[in-house]
Amino acid sequence: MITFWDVVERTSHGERMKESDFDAMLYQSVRAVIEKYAIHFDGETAVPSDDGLADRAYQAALELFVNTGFYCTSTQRAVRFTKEEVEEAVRHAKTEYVFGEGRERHVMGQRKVEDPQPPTCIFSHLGVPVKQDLFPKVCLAQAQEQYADAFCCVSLHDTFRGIPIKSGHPVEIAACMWDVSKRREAARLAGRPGLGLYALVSVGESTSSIIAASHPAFGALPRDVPQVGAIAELKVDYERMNKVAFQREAGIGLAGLYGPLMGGYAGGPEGTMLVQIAHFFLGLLAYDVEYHICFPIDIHQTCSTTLPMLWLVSVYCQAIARNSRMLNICTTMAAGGPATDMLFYEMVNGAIAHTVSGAHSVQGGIARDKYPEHIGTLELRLGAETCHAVARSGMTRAQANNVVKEILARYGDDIPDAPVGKTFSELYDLDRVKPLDFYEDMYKRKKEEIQKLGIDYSVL
Amino acid sequence: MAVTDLNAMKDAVVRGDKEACVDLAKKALESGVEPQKAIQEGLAPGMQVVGKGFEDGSLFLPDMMLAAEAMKAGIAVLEAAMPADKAAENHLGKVVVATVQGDVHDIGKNILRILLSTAGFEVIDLGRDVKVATIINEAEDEEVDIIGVSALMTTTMMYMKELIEELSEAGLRDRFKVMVGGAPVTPEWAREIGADGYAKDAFAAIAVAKDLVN
Repeated sequence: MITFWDVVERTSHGERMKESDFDAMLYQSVRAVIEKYAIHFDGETAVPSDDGLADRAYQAALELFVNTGFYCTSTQRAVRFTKEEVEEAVRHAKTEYVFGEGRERHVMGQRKVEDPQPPTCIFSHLGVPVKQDLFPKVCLAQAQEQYADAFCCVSLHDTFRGIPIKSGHPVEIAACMWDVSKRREAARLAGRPGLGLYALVSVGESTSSIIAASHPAFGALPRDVPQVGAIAELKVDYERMNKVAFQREAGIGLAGLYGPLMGGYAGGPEGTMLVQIAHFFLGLLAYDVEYHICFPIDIHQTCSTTLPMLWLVSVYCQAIARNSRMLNICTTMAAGGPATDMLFYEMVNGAIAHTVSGAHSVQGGIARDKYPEHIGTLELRLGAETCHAVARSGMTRAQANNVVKEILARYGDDIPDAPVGKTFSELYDLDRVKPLDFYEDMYKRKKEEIQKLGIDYSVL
Repeated sequence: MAVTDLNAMKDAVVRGDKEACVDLAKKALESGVEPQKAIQEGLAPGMQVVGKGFEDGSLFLPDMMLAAEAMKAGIAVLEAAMPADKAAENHLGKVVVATVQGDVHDIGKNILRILLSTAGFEVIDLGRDVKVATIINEAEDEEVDIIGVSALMTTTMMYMKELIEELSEAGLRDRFKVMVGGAPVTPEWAREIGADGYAKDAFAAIAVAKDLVN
């Protein structure tokens, strides 16, 4: 079977081409397979009940990837694989990942479409900027959410020890080590010392920062995972592969991170959905990953909760679940901010789409990850509860589609001017790190409202 | 040149047909059409159609890239036939764009490059993961009007602040206008670091850029 080092060698021998030519080739290839495999978004359905579509999508994405390969920007070469090599990598994909340890040990396994087993639920505000003084409290607020099977917290921003945190700067290393230590401390304070960290560091991008933060002295557990991202679309570079070279021999978990942009190089919902699937093959081959984290985003709305995006998410999840045993985690990227109706609706819709379509779920981006300290955990909690309720109640895709569309009608028109909501300081008792009463009341009201729309929380 | 030929020029831009744009541009000159008219009533409307299509989601980034290349090919033919001072009227200014150091996200910056160049700006694209010193050196060497920088991560947007500080320290702050953008960037951040302009997306950035050069 092709190994990581075989792939590294291929990055030096693939077809030399300009990056812009690879982008053009990708777009043409996407359009060709869309037509060949009759992949079509009907403009109405959010969660399709179409096994044929899911299976064709998988085959289309496989053909697409065999045709284009991925592009290595460090060597300016397209790196290609035979269909047999890709399929072999998929056959050998890991089917289980264990987060955390002790009583917080959580096993993430394969899921199927309409699987009655609840998904792994991960709480994350990764991308939302938070300053050093508030960071530990936000971490604690997340860690104490009992539906979090692993957590990530926020992105440390601005300064550390009074020095601006910049990528590639010594302060980035120090900030990363502190970041991990504070999240591990938060887990301990929440009575969950073995809780897994989903993205090892919030503030580091460089390989050196990942290596530093991975040291157990700072609280990282062996299976706490730094993510390795692909570059849009279907691209890698040596900085990213450097992380893999370290992590795979250090025994640190490896997760691929892919966020194709709908409207970008892959085109519309159909093409972006196929490119999302194709990234799984990139992750297996270029990054030797154990699981895959996806966060497709609408290029204009900077979220994943519009109708075309929900369709895209559902179809790619179904394609992966039906045609492989790969571990797939999908992230809800929301436009609305904390303590808004919209964010509750978006988290619920993302949760429904992920769960019924065979994925695991990150309750994730908030207010487009744009506004400092706009963080709350109760919307994420409702999202996770929805994941469990959908699975345990045996919701079908057809039922899910009806509910998702009903909820979408309540926020869809407001996406372009989504409310940014409130800050953490406005929502929490900062001494006790507990949600304030009005925020809890809002959560309860929203839960009752969603229950009436068809999510049976009584099964929890 | 008949109106239908100007429409054909517009359609060629929409299709991203570089060859057709060049042929039609030559035909326009042979027919005695004022080059400026061909640009404004043939090529530019095509790019407006594509821009609108991108904004409403019916067209995508590769369509914009092809259309822009086709339009620029046609403009090159037409401007070659114009007096230098007339051609210069189409040029609004010079911009250097880059994704800052440590950041590999560049789609937004690429969209900006396309829109600025088709709006009449000369654009020097330094790519992704670009050091502050490189941006400043290039801005000086090329004598640009605007420096446009983009970042997608909280750890890399700090380089926007560093850029402005370095410009000030080098006594260059008043020579260039600085525009900032990217997912984590807010108007408040732009104000805090002393940027001259902020835009929430590439389309909004064109109006900002035009304001900055006026």
